[in-house]
Amino acid sequence: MNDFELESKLKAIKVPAREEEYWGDFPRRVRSQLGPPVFVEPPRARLMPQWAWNSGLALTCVCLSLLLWPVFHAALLDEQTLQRDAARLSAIDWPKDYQDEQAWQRDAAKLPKQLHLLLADEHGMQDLVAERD
Amino acid sequence: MGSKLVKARCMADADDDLVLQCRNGSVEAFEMLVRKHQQMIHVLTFRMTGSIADAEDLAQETFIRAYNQIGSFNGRARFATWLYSIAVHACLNWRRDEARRCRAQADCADEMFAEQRENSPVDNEMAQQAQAALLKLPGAQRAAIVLTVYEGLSHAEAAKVLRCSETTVSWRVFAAKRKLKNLLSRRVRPELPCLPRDEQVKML
Repeated sequence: MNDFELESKLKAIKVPAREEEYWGDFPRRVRSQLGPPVFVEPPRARLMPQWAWNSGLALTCVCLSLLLWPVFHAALLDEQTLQRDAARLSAIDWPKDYQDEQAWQRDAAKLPKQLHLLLADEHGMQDLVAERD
Repeated sequence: MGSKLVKARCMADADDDLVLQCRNGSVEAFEMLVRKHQQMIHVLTFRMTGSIADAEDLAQETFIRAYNQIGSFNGRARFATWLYSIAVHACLNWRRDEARRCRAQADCADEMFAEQRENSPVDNEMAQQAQAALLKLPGAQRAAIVLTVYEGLSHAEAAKVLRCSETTVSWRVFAAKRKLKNLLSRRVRPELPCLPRDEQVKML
């Protein structure tokens, strides 16, 4: 059986006909069962249609992105600088003695009256000792 | 085709005016809406229940609900579609306890015999079989068939009425048609499972 045959079979079901009197009486019967009249405030016209809300949201996102971009950019640059410095320091040929902080503190303690300054440059770690004023 | 559309548009505009008057407290306007749509709702509830008495109760319930919920009608859909939705959901929530179902089926058989006695025997038998098969469908599938086959709604419109997706409607229509074809090709006699056997024989 195809769809057409099925539909023609289904449409063979007749809805029982009613008398005119019934149709005249039915609305009155419904009305008698209704509650008090409803008063509904008309829906207020929407101030802005949906597309306006969508456009506003998109514009806000763009503005926020433009405002926050310098902050993120600076943070990104800072991070890149730190990474570059760390790479540079790791490339320095540290004197063996100063790789160990405790060893350096031990050496510095031998000259308690002197000022020590550790200087790292491309030639390696330098320990500058100066007279205290 | 064009004149049909214009007519539908005019009817929708007239409905909108009446709804507006209703919102302002005019019961007369609502009575006019009932007058306009009563036959459509009775047909729908009859197809959903298969019983004249229940169709009448449900049609009445539909209009009372519509009156109470008139504030929630936002005018996006046609008033008729909104009314369909209330009617279909009233039918789906229809109490289906055993006694009521028996009464509905008995009423249905009585009505069909009374109405179709004058028709040819072949038509009469076909209608009985179709009605019996339709009543065997689950409520949601029956609603999908009633809306799409009888009321001529598209799947998208039926989805709005049934408050589900278009895919769900398509699936329900497909499943219902498969079940109906199966039932009708077996040429089942209307079953009245909750009546005693001798009563069933008497009715058939």
